[in-house]
Parts: sequence; C-alpha cells; structure tokens
Amino acid sequence: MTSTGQGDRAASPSWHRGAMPGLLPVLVLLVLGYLIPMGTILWTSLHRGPNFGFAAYAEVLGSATILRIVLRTLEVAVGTTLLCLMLGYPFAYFIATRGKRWAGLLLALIAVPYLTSILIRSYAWIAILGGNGLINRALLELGLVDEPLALVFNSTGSTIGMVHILLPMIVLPIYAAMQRIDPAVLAAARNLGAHPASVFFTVFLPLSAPGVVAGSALVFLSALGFYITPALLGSPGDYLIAQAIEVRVTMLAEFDVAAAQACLLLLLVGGALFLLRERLTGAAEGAPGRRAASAGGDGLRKSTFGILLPHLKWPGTVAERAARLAGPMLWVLTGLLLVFLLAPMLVVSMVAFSNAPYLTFPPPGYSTRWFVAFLEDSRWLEAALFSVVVSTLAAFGALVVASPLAFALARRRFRGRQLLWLLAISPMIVPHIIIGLGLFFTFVALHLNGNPATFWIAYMVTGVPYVVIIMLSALQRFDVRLEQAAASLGGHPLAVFRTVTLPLLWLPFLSSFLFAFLTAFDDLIISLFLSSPRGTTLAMRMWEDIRLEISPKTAVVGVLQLGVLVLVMTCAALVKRRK
Amino acid sequence: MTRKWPRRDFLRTSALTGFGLMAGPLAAPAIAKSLTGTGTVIVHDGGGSMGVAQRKAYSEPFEAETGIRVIHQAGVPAGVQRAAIMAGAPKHDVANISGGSLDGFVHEGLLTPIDYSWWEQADRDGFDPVPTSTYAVPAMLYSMLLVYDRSRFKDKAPGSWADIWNLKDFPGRRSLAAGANAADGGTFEIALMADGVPRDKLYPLDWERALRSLDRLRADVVKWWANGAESVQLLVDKQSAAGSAWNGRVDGANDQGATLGTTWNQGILQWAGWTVPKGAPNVENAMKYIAFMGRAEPQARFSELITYGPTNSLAFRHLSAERTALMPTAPQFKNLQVVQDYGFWNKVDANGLNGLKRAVTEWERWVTAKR
Repeated sequence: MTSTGQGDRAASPSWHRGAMPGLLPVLVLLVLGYLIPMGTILWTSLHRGPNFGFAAYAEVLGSATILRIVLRTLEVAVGTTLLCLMLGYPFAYFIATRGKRWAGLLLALIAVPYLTSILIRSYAWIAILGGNGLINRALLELGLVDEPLALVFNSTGSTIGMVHILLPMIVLPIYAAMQRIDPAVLAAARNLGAHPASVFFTVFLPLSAPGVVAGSALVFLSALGFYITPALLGSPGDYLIAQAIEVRVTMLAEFDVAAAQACLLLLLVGGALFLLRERLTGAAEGAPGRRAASAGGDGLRKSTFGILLPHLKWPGTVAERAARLAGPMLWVLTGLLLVFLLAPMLVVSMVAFSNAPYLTFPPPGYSTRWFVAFLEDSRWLEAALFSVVVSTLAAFGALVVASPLAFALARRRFRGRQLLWLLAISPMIVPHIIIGLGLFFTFVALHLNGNPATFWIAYMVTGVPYVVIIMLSALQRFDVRLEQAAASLGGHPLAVFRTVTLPLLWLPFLSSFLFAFLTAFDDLIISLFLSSPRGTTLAMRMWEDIRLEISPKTAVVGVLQLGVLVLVMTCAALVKRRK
Repeated sequence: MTRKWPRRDFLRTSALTGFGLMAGPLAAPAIAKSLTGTGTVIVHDGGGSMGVAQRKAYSEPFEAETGIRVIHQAGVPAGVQRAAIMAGAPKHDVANISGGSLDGFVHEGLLTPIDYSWWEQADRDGFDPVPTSTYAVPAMLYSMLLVYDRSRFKDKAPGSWADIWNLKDFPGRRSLAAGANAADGGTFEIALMADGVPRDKLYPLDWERALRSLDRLRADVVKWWANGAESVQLLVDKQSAAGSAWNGRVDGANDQGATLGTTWNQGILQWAGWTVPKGAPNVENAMKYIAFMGRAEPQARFSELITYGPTNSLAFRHLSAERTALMPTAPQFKNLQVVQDYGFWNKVDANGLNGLKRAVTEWERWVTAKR
C-alpha cells in the first residue's frame, strides 16, 4: 500500500506535495485556542492553592461515586450512539434513495430540532411526554391505559431528548457517504447474480462505512458532554460527568478537582480513540485514489462490517421477502422519525403564538404578543445579532482553517498525523465549561479579555472537530483522480478546487458549517466566561430569563429561526429554478 | 441619561401594579449624603423581571441623582465570577453573590471592603434580620417555601414539611430542589425539618439523617428540580402536586394566573449580597451605587416591583400593608422561618470539606446509587 501511495503522490497537484503551509492557520488556532488553555487547565489540576501535587487526581480516582458517574456517562453515550445508528442509517438510506428535490427537503427538515434552544425544547418534550402530556392524554382518552405512562423524568425521557437532538448528527454524514456510492458498482453486483440483500450487505453497507464511523463519532463525543437534557428530562440517577464538572466549577469553585476530572476524561476517551485510530481515520493509510475505486477489496476487509458479512449466507427466499418488506418499512420508519423530529417544534410554535402570560400548553388562545415582546426588547435583539454574527464568522473560520487539515489527514501520511487528528477532534471531548475556564485565563493573560474577538476564537475551536470529522469521512471516498485530471489539464489549484472539489463536496462543507454554527449559537457555558458589556450572547439572555421563569419569548426565537430556514430554502429553490 | 428624579414614573408603576404607596414618608425624603460623580459603573443584572425591577428601582434613579452611568451586565455563576476575579478581570464593579458562596470569596481575599462612609448610619442600622458586613451588603431576602397546587388540596392544605412527607393525607407527586444545589436548594434543611428537627436545632446539619429522610420520599418525587423556573413550572403543568419553590417565583406565577398556595411556616430565609470584587475598575462608583441601594426608599421601590424582601427594614415604612404581606421579611412572618446559616455551610469539617462540598459529594453518592 505504501508504494502505491507514493505513486499517487507523485501525480498529485502541487498543493498535495511538500510542506503544508495550509496547515499553519489551524495549528496557530489550536495552539492559541486549545493547547495553551488546556495547559492552564493541566496546571490548575496539579495545584491546590500554591502547592504542586496530585491531590486533585487522588481525590477523583479515590471516589467510587465519580467512577460510577463516568461509567454511567459512557453507558449513556454508547447507548445513544447505537440507537441513533439503528434509526439514522435506514433514515439516511431512505433520503439517499429519493430524488434530489425530496432529499433536499428531508435534509432541511432534520435540521429543525436544532432551531430551538435546549430549554424550550425540553419543555416541549415534557408537554408531549408528561403525565398530563399529549401522549398520555390521548392514551387515557382512548382507554388504552388506566394510569398515565411514565415517559419522562426517567431514562426513557432522557433517551428521547438526546436521540432527538443527536439523530441529525449521524444522518448527515451517513447520507453524504451513501450519496457518493457509484450506482454502477451496485448494478455490477446485481448483474453478477447477487441478491438485493446481499448487494446491500456486501457492497452498499461497507461503502457507506466512513459515514457511519464519522456520524457515530460525532454522536458519541457530543453525548459525553451532555448534561442539561438528562438533567431536565431524565431520572435523578442520570447524573453525568459533565454535570459533576459543571457543579464543581460554577458552584464549588473547585477548579483543581474539576480540571483533574476533565483531564482524566480526556485521557480515557482520547486514549480509546487513539487505539481505534486506524478505523477512525481509515482510508488515508492507503492510496487515496485507488482505494476509492476498489472499495470492494481492501477497504471492505478492513471495515467492521466487512469482517463479518461476506461469510453470511443469504438464502434466496428470505432475502427476497426481506427486500420486498424493506421498502414499505422504510416509509413507515421515515414517517415516524419525521414526526419524532418535528413534534417538539410544533409545540414550540404553538407556545410562541400563545396569548398566555406564562408558559402553558396547550395555549389558552393565540396572539403575537410574545413576538412583539421579543422585537421590542433591544437587549434581546442586540444579543441575537451578536450571536448570529459571531457564530457565522466562527463557523466560516473553522471551515476555512480546518478543511486543509482534513485534506492533509485524508491524503497524506506524515509523522504525527494521528496525533494531529486526535488534537483536532479533542475539543469535543473536553466539557465546554473547562474549555471556557482555560480560554478565559488565557485571554486575560493576553489582554484580550472583553474583546468580542475572543468569542470568534473560542467558537472556531469548538467548530474544528465537526469540520475535521465530517470532511475526513467525505474525503475517504473522494476520487482524487478527478482533481488530478483537472490539474494535469492545466487547472490552477484554486480553479480545481472551485470547479471540481467544491461541487463534489458541497454537502459535507455545508454540514460542517451548520454544526459548527449551531454549536456556537447554542453555547451558553463558554459565553458565561467571555461575556462583557461589549458582547453578550442570546443564549445568555435566555439563561438569564429562565433562572426566574421560562417565558414564551424563548419559543419565539425558535420560530424566527424556523422562518429563516424556510426563507433560505425557498430562495435556494428559486435560484435553482432560474438556473 | 440626564433624566430627572423619576418619581412620577415610579408612582405610575406602582399604580399599575395595583399597590398604592403611603405617600407620607415618600413626600419628605431624608436628606442623604451626596453621591454625585462621573464615569460609569458595571453592575450585575439578575435578568428577567428581576433585572427590570433593579433598573427601575435603583439604576435609573441613581443615574438621575448622581450623573454616573450604570451599565447592566448579565450575572454569572459564583464560580465563574471567582475565576474572573482570580484572573484579575472581574465581570462587574458591583457583583451579586449568593450568601452560600460569599464566605469563600471573603476567605480567599477576592473582595474589597465596603466603604460605609457614603452611608447614613440610620440605613446601616436598619438592616435586619441580616446585618451589613465588612465585605457585603445584603441585596435581597427571599425564602424557600413549601408550595402546593391549590386545586389539588381544596379541603386541607399541607402546612409543614412533615405534611409534604405525608403521602396518605396529602397524596400526589413531589418536587424538591436537587441536592447538588447545596445551600441554595435548601433540600437538606427541608428533609431534617420533615423528620422532626426543630427550626432552631437544624445546625449543624446531620447529613446521614437528612439522606435517610429523603430515602422515604424518594419514590414519590417526580423531579428534583435544577432551577427556579423549573420548580414552579412542574406545579403549573401538574406534573407535581407539592414541593419547594422560592417565594418570588410563586408570586410571579400567581400574578400570571397560576393557583399555587404556600405557607411561611418553616420557610428557609436566604439572601444574596452586593459586593465589590478586587480588581474592579470603578470602585468609588460601585461604593456609591451600593450605598444608594442601601437606602430605604429605593429598596421599597424594588419590593413594589418584585416580591423579594427589602434588606433595610426601614423600607417597610414606605410599603403598603398589602405589599408588606407578600414580603418574606414582613414582621409578622419573619419568625415563622429560619435564616439559613451560611456560616455552617462554609465551615470546614473534620474531613476537610465545607458544607457545600459535603452536600454535593453526599448528593452525588446518594442519587447515583443503584436501588
């Protein structure tokens, strides 16, 4: 494999060769915005007062409770990931097998859960799942149950809330991988006499594996940092590590113990990822171009599915029956999942138009009073504008600086490559409260405190993992020879990028941008540290309000975001039609 | 920002909220020390209706009287504020720190002593039941109360924490603050009072006994709430029939049409303090702002707008009887409640843990244990 790799490299366009100046911005960003802050965190974890030592680590490792909380966190994260995978894969398959226009609409719909803030979204779930909620009222009305079912404030509620928000994160990368599968390969398999089920399991599934790996990684790493959703919807036992760390920072101000917990978490999860690095960064080990073309060979054997599945025998009748059932079942599943994804937004929309002075569902009547209240509140409007500007700049910045890193990781072998990969995705492992603390100390030392640019740097750092994970998975099935062809015909590297790379990779670029944006827009924790009279985010304004009451004003924000999404979609459709 | 003394606004506001003022004392304000100055002061903003009340009762009149511009900046949790002061970049010139966290700031030398030379002695003497101290001026008093859904207990309402534990006579699910809120949640004190510990014998808290008491209620708790909004929302949505909530939250919900009942009996009086962090850039203006907030009239104005009790008891002279009856520090209710002992909560025990950390550690162990 090494020899073919070198062969390919010789034929690569110039920007694939030699030193990698394209990586400089991302390195500067990660050093300034992540490594130095984490250095201060490590320093903090090793000091109790002025004394150097491992007291904080001894305390964390000596606590059976913390161990139990970490295990529970891992259990929740793995369980959520598996559930998202089981639901998300067929969902992505359904989208990938629709026509372009339908696929676009479905993809827009799965972004809807992200349009509401976590608090109002959780409230919507309570309105749906609670003892007095929609589902239980319907069941009682129909006489199906005598007592309301316990659907929330237990693990069921927590799982529903988490899957709801994480499902889109696994669907997008899997869809992107499926979309790049050459139908000719599938046709070839069928022509050689393979049953449809066999074609699916031995050809289609392995070819979509990079999307599966990327999506699972995103969901797992996000789930590790969750604590608000489990705290609001789950059982008291769903007390996760991010919550333990948060309490230690915000209330106890035990920075050494919180820092030690975060460092140990990083060591544990980072270590596990490093052991799995081959599988996770996969394709770049081989010759990029060749590998894309010969996915049925090496790639298949190396992938998780590839190991098991070719050995399974698929009796013809079973396979045919399964194939016949698969279609209708997909429709049903997709329909149910769409209801699941959109139901809270429906509740939120109704609440936003409520005429009640407080949050109640269903609303006693409808009005636009909360829209007026939002639009008349200059503090909320200013915060909203600030959040939009900062998040957009940060998502764009993350895309620009981190994409070259994803390209380098996918196409080149160099010393420290896998460490660099781990570094780039590790901001997702460390809870935001710790990143916020480290960044704050760093910014104060650099005399940047109070400067709105600090938000930009912070959110670029939190955006980098999304860009790297999504772009890396996209590039694993990207045929470099297309770029090479364009370059050999005399194309300028930038022109090659614009006319070949970008049109083929628009979806991963867009989803990277989207997730980087939403992570920034939804962030409360980091902004608590960075806030100043010169910059306060919308999430902070909402948080300020909910300490006292959850008002329908928070729901208005969700509906306005939905409006923006619809507007963008309509414009895009109109532009396309004109073309 | 050169508005005149906005008494007219104030009167209009109080008329709108339906509570008249006793005009007498207000008509002849005491002649106070001059707080005139220049520049700005960055102050903590409690958000929502609290922020509005603070702006109307304190900041706008302060700007009009002194010429100092007040910048409201969103509040942050105590730990974030502590990190900010340690880094030399406090978030506010005037910070608001909950009573439970205050001792930690004082011990670590993170605060500037309050300059009482801007104060009238009468105002200082008026602070009751929590006096002013070297580093903090009590900002407001609030109470963690027993709260219930009136529609569920029409004939007989729960009147003590023991009634909350009595599922036979007062059926329905419960909601209390999660123990990870430590002092602020009041759950450990509540569990002990429910178990029969008298109000005046609560401290030092018996952790084991509190958790054993919570063991008995555990199966009936629908939710251990995490924030003030949640405490009331659970009752309004009928997820919970009875539990605990802050008095201001209950009044806020009832003002908007909810039907929640409370009792002052065995309420836990809590408070937050105004402080000036070390390293704050506008110290003198901060001291002036705090002195202004210590006066009786602005405090009365604040309590007209939100039911968090005045800390300067002279403010009651400016409050109507109806309004007074809503204040946790009203003379007739004050003695039914217990003032939370923040000294205990911050005292380090034999294991080297202060009360806050002990509470979090005990709670994490208890709540994550397999049953």
